[in-house]
Amino acid sequence: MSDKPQEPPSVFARLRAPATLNYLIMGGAGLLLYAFVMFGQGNDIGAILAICLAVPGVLTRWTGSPILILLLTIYLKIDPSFINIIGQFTGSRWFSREPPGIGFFVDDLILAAGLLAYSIGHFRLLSLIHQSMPEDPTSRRDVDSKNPPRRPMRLVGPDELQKTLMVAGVCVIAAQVAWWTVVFIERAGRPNASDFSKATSRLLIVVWIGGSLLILLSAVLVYLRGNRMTRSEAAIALRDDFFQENRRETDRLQRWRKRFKERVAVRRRSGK
Amino acid sequence: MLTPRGFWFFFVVILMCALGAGYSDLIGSSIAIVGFTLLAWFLWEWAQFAYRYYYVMPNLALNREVSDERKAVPVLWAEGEFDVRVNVGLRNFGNLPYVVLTDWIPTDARFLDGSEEAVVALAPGRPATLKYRLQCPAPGELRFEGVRIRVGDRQGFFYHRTLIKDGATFLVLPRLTGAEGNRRGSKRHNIFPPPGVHRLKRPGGGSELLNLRDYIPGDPPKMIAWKASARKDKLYVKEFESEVPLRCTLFVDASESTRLGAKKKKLSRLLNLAAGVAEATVADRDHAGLVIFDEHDAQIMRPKRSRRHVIDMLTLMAKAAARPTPLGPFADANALSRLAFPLAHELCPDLMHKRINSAPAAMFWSPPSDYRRGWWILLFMFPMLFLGCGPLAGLAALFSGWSDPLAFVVWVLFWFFRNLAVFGTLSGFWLTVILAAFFMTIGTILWWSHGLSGFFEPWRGERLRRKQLGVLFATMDGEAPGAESHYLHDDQMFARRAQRFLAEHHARYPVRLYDARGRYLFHCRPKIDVLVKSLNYAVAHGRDNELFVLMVDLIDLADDLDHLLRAVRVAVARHHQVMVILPWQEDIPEPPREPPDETRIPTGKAERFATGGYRAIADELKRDFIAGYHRSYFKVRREFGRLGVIVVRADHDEPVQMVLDRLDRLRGVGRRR
Repeated sequence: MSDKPQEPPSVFARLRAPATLNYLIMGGAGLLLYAFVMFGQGNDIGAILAICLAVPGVLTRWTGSPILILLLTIYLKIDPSFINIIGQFTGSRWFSREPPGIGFFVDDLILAAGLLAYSIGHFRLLSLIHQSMPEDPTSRRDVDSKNPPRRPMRLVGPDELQKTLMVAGVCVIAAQVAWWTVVFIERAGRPNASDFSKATSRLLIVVWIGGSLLILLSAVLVYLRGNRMTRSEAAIALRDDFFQENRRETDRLQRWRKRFKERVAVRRRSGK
Repeated sequence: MLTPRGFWFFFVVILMCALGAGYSDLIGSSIAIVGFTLLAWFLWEWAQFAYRYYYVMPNLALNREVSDERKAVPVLWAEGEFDVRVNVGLRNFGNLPYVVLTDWIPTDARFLDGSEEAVVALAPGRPATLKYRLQCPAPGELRFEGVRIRVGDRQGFFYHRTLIKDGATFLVLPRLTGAEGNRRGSKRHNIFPPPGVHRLKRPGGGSELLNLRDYIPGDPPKMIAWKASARKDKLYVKEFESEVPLRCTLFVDASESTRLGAKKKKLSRLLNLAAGVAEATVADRDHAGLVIFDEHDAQIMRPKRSRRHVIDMLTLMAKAAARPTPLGPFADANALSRLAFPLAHELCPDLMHKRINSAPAAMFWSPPSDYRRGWWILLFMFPMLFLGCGPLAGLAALFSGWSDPLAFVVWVLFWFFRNLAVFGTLSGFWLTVILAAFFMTIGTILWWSHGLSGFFEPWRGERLRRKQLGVLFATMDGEAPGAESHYLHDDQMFARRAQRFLAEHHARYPVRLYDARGRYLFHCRPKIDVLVKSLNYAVAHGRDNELFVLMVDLIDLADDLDHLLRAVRVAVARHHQVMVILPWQEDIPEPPREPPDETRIPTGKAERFATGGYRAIADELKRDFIAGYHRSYFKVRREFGRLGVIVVRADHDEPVQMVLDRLDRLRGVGRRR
């Protein structure tokens, strides 16, 4: 209803605002960290590819670019410098080996911090300059494709970046602790080394812990939903259960009712 | 809750965790740590959003105020402009860092300026305000459904939409028209006629001198004008003005046929007209009464002249205008479901969510046996009976007391397969098996394809909409469990409820005007009876010569006027005056000055249809409809004309002046000042 600007400002103009500049720098720094670590590990081509994906991703407001970079990172860690792809043609194979130790490497922490900073920076930047929530057309209002909903710069608080950096740091540490826990359980709890490989044991531990947490979380959510339900929601939920349980029977009854009504209507029309 | 962006990110992170752990002996812990880091961040953001969703959002509250130029008002005026101010805030605790608020502007209002949408951050003590300006084009009711809330997180992973319900309604009174109506209340004592000009030319018991007349034996001596009698040497008697005010009763038709239409309803036009006449009449210190009737009953306000009475009349008119668009006897259930479904999703997003108002997949299976001719698929199973002939024969032998049933079965099978045709190397048995399998395969394919067709559009959408809306309607009405299945299967029941839902929320919906045989579905004979009763009541309680203004949609009832004409004849015989005002349909051109010659037979139609095709037929149908409408109008005018009753069309503002002129004629003043 209200008038909106027809032509939004250009991407470069939006990137110059202080609020976006913070996240731009954060994302750029994360990407640089990532590139340095990857260069250091000999993944030169992969690091250059990641940068080639990330920079246009910001400029063209492409949501999928961090996801592609994450997928590329997975592949590059399994096959640094695309050796296996080249090996398909040359006939040679290459696999990296786990470095010895207890599972703590500064490189990994820096890589995780870099990718996290880049992901946060990229997604928050997109929310500010492009789109922050899905377009939700209503029966009374069409989607304005030129002006998708985006988070206004004035809503970016002065301490938002500091808090974000703190959270990111805590996340990196928590991830390292979580991995140590997995490694510890694997080393302490694996009864017979010949049953499963180390990796398989770790995967199973991750799946078991993740699954258990998921079940707990689901139970909490179900409780919360039930607890916060309004009277109408509860009535609908009960009626829906009733519908699911009695659907076949009520369908049959309604079919017969419909046929009977049709017969009555036909009789009435024919005057009998 | 999870957006596509959030879903894909979560998917890749889970993949990283799994692959990182699964390949950790080859590639080390880096991928797993990256995956865990991103997962930790994702979970942190989710936890924050979930906290806001479960604990903070229920604390949202809104406060609405509608004001004119001076102050907040409880009622509005048609064609007036009003400021709407909505405050949305959190009652207790928590904060929402990114919220999009959109106020639900009433369908009947016109947006002028301001903004009904705001992107804000909410915290306790820091409410957000929406301010905009509206205009109410027509009398009736404005309904503010509430404020639409969209909450997101900072990176666009999570999203939730809901509505803070308001349901505030404001009556919109009809606008005041004409110079008399616009007169200011503070100046009303200056409107008395100047000395020597008498407003009421009938003699009566008032205090103002009207005239002198010759003395008639029996006149009271105190009425003799002694000075004039002395001058003329003849007895004269003073006559004074009558102080009995005129009484004008307005009969307004609020039946279903006047409530049809999107914006320019006939009822709105009639009510604006009635409001103008009532205001002008009261401003002249006359009495104005109101009768609002429909096909069921009438609401009567006896004539009075206080300002409070005018406000009460306008309120009654606004309530009449606020009646919803009629439902109509026939409606397309699926078309209505397409209108009601998005509206229900906007109004009750929580009640339409699939988590509690689900759509089980089995619901979409469409078994052929549900349909009248679906059983013919079973015919394909018929060849299978041949394979069952042996067991059948055994059963028959067993029940008929055959001494050796097995020998009988063998004999039957032998006889049966021996007599079957033999093609090439195929024996009768194998031919039967192959044919039975072939037909059974076809039958099975047909059965499955028919059943699966329910999973595809448009059937899937229809069933989904009907089910979810059915559950919603049944819950809103507090019906017994199982009532939702009526809405799923009974088209007419669903259509009527969906129409009522749309009407309650002031949403427009199509109404079928004509049935399959071309008959007008809103041809409403009972309203004539209600009108006749009301008119007879008004005549019976009339104290003096009164003016009855019938604002009735009579054109569709031109052949059913007998009762009404009789009642009007009684009113005229009692020296009352009657006027009829017909609301004119918007898309019908004005009638000619003289009625068309009905003796002429139109020719050349066949040639026009032959050359013009369907377009010519459509044009001809439209012409016929317009001609029929004009004919009915002239018939109504002719029937009332015989009784000396004026019939006018209400398609512009002229009838207000015409009614006021008629009031002047009753007063005896030749011209209205």
